[in-house]
Amino acid sequence: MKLSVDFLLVGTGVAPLLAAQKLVQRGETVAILNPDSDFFLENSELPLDLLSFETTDTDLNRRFTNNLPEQMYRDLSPGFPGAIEIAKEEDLGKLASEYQVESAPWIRARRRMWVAPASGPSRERLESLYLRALDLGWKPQWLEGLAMARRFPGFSARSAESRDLEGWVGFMGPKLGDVDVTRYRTGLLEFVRERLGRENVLTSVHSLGADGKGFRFQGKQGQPTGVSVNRAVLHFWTPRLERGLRNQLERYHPRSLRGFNESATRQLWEEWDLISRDPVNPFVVAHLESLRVWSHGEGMPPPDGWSRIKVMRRELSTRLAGESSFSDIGRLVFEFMGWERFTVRNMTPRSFYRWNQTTPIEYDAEGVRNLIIPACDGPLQWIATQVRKAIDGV
Amino acid sequence: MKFRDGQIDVAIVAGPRLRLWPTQGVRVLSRYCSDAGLRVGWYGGAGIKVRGVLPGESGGAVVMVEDAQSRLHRVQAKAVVKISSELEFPLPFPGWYSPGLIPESTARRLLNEGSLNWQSVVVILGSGNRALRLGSELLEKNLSSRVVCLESVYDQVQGWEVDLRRFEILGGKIAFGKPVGLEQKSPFTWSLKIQDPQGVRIIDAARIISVGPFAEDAGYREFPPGSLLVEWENTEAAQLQEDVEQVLLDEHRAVVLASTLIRGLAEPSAEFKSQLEKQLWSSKQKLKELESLSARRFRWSYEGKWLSQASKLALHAHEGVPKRLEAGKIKASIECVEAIGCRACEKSCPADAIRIDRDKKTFLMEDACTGCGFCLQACPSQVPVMIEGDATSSFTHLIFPITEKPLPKKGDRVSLLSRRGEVLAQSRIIDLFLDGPVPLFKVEVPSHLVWEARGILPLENVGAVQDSSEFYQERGTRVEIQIQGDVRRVREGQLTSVALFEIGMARPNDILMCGDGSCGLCQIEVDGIKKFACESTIHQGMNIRFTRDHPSSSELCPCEGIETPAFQERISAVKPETLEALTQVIGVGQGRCHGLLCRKSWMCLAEQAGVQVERYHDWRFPWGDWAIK
Repeated sequence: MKLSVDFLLVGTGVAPLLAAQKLVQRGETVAILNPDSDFFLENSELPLDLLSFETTDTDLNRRFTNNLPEQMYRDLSPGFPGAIEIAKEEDLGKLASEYQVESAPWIRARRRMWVAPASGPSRERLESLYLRALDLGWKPQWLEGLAMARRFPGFSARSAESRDLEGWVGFMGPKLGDVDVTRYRTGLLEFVRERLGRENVLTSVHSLGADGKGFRFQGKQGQPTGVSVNRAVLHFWTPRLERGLRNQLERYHPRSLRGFNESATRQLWEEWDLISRDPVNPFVVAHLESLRVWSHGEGMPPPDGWSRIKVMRRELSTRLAGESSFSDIGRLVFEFMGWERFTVRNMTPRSFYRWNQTTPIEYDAEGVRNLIIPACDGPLQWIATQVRKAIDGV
Repeated sequence: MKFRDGQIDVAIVAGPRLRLWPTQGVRVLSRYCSDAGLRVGWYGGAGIKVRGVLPGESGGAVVMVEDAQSRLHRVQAKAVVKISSELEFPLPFPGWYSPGLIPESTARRLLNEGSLNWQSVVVILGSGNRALRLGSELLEKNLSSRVVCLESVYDQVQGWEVDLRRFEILGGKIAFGKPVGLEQKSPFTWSLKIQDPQGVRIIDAARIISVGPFAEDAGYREFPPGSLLVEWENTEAAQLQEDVEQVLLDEHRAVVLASTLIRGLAEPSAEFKSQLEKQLWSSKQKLKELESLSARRFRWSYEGKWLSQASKLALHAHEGVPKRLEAGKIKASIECVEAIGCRACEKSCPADAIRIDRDKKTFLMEDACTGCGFCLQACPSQVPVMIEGDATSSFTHLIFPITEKPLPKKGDRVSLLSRRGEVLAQSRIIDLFLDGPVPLFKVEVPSHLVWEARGILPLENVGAVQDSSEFYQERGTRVEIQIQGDVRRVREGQLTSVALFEIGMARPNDILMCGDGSCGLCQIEVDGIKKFACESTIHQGMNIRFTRDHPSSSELCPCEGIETPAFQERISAVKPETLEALTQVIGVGQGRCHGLLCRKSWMCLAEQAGVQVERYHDWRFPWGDWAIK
C-alpha cells in the first residue's frame, strides 16, 4: 500500500487533529500517524492553566487575560467543528437553553483562589501576588479564616471550630476558564476521521522514518507502508513522542536539539482524584502552595456540584507518590478541608514542558521537508494557539 | 504519616473484594519466581491493603501498600501481577440494578448473618459449580424450598455433572433462558422475566442471586506488551474440591506467567532453565486440554425415568463402581464418571481403596473397601453411595451421609429419587449410624433400583418450611430505630446493610455490600453523620436517613447513568480503539463504584463492538477510604 499526501502529521493528541482540520480547510491532503493505540492516551493536555510560572507582572497579566473564558472561547472555537458552550456560576441550576449542546465541550468560568499559611515565606509570596493582581486591576478580594476556607472546594465546615483556620489566609482572584479536554478531542477526532477517512488516521504505527521517496512506517499488524509526502512531515512534540523526536533531531539537526534543551523545562505533576462525601463548590479553582484543587466533571455542573476533586501537585523530584506527596495531600484533606478520611480514586503522573522557544524546527531528512512543532502540551488553549500559528506558517 | 520504601522484583497484589488470598495461582507463581532467585512479595489479605499501583514510564511500577498499623509502604517493583476478583453481573437488563438482584458475595453475607427472606423461590443466575453449590446449600439447609438455576445458553449447564446431580436430587431446577426484566412485586417478592424459545416467562422470587459464570475465564493479560505489568482475573478456587479444573488452570497459567517474568528479570542457572522449559511445555499442553474441557462435560441420559442403556453401560464400565456386589458386604460406589480428579475421596479413604490416576480416572479396589463411609462425607458433591447386599434378593440397601436437618428418624418413610431428582419409588429408613465418625443412614431399596436411586425425599414435612424457627434462629435482641422517619424494629449489632435487606428497605446502592467502603455506594446518614451502611452497625434509637439513592435502573453504568443503547451509539460514533479511550469519552466505569458494578458488562459490549479490550489495565485506586494521618 502506498499513500500520497501533501502533509503527513505525526502526533499523539489534539495537536495533529487540529492541524489536520486546518489543513483540510485549506484544501491540502493529509494523513495522521499516531504511534499510540488511541488519541486518548496523551495526558499532557490540561483543561486549565495551572498558573505556576508567574515571574513578571507582564507574564501574569498576559496569562490572566489569555485565560479569561471569553478569550479561551476565542482561542478554541476556530477550527473546532461544532459548538463550544460557556458555563457560568449564575447559570447553575438553570435549565440549559434549547440551543445549548449538552455533549459539546464546555468552558467553565471559575474563580481562582490562592491560599497560604498565615505566616512564613508562603504568606509573603501570596501577599506579593495579591499586590500584583491589585496593581494589574484584577480586583482580588483578601480573605481570612472561615470566610476564606468555606469557599475552598471540598472544605468541610463540620469541625471548623476545632481547626486553626485563623492560620490560613488567601484571596479570590479573577474568573478564569477551564475546558473539557476529552470532549474537545472527541469532537475533533470524529470530524477528522470523517473528513480524512479511517485509512488516513492511523494509530499504533511504529518504525517511523524518512526514506528516499518519502516516509515509511509499520502499521498495527506490522505491515510496512510507504507514504509519498508532497510538502512536509509535521511532528507535534508531546512528552509521549519525545524519545523518537530527540533521536530524529540528533540525527538530522543536532544544533536545534541543544537549543531545545535550553529552552524547554520539563515539569512533573501528580494528578490525584479524590472523592468527597459532600458535593463540592464547582466554580472555584484553588491554589494551595504546590497544589491546585478543583471539583472535576464535564459539561455544566449539576445544581449540587460534583463530588470528585482533582488535586494537581507539582513534584520536583522524579519520585512519584512519595512521602512528601502524601504529606501534602494529608495536610490538605485533614488539616485544611477537615475531612475525617479520604478516598483516593486515582493517581496519574502528568508531565509537560514549559516552553520559552515555540518556533517550529525545520530540517531536511532524506530529501523530505520535516517540521517539528514544539509546545503541543500544557493547557489546551495554549496547544490550539500554537498549532494554529504553526500551520499558518507552513 | 509513617512511610516506608522498599524494592522488590515481583509484586503480586490483591485487587479489591477477593474471596481468597493467596490463591493457588499466586502460590505457584511465587514459588517459581523465588526459585529463580527473584525477590517476590504478596500484598493482600488480612491486615495488608493494597492501595494502588503506579506504573512507571520505563517499565515497572510502584505499589502502595497499607499495613495493619496504618503505615504506608511504597514498594518499587520491576513486575506487578494484580489479581482481580470475579464479581460478575449478567449483561444489563431492565431492573437489574435493584435490591432484588444481588451478587453471590452479598448473598453469602446475608446467609452468614442469618438473614431471612429466602422463601419461597430463589433464582440463581448461572449454572457453574458455584451456582449449583449455592443452590444445593440453600436447599440442604431448608432455607429455600425452591431454587432455580437459570442458564442463558440452552442445554449448556456449565457445572460438573456431580454438582448438577446433587442440586437436582435436593429438588433444585435448571431453567434455560435470558433474564429480560426485573420488577418489585412486594417488599420481599421480585418478578423476574425470562426469555426462552417459547416466549417470556415470569418467576416470582424472593431473591435473584448473580453467580455466573457469564463469560469465558479470561486468564491474565500483560499491557503494555513487554512491560511485565499483568492483570490476572483469577478464579479464586480455594481448593481442589471446589473446582479442580480452575485450580489446575491457575497452576498452569502461573507456570507460563512465571516463565515470562523469569525470562524478563532473572538469569537462572542452566539446570533451572531446562527444568522450567520442560514444565512450561507441559503446562501449555495442559492448558490447551483444560480450556476445552467444558465442551466435554458428561451428562446422564434417560429413557423415561430410567437411565438409558448407554448411560447404564457407562456407569458399569466406570472403574469407581463395584463390579461384584456381595451379600452381607458394604461397598462404596464412587460414581464420578466425569474426569474430575479432585482426590477428596482418595485422600479420605483410610483403607487406600480409592485411587485416582493421572488422567483423573477413579478406581475402586473393591476388596480393600471396608465400607467405612469416609468417602461419602469427604466428597464435596456427595457423589459416593454405599451398597449393601448383592442385589439378588428383592431388596438391597443403600447408605447415604446425613447432611440434612432435621435429622431423619429410623422408620421414616421416604421417596427414592433418581439422579435428576425424580421420584422412583417409596421406601423407608431402616437404620441410622450416628455413633461412628461419619453420620449415615441406611435406606431399603428394591434391588432393580439399586443403580437408579441416588437420593431421598422425606415424605413427612415435604414442601415449604412451615415455621421459620426450623432454619432461622434470631440472634440478638430487637431494638427500635428510625429509618427515613419510620420506626422499625431490627436486630441490635447487625450490619445496617443486612438490616435494610431484612426489612425490605434495601436500596440498589446496597447490593455490593463490600464491607470496607470500597464501592462507596451505600452511604447513609446516621444521626446526622455520613457513614457507609456496610460498615455501620445497628444500635438502639439510631436515626438513619438515605443521603444518596440511585433508583433501580436498567442502565449499564448506574453511577454515571449510562444506558446500553447510548453506550453502543457512542462507540459507533467515536470508534474508540482502546478501553482507556472509551472510559474517557463515554465516562463509563468512572463513577463512584469505579466499575465494580459495570466493568465486566461494558468490557463485554466493547469487545463485541471491536474495541481492543486486552489493551487495558485498570490500575486506579478503588480501595476504600484512607484514614491515614
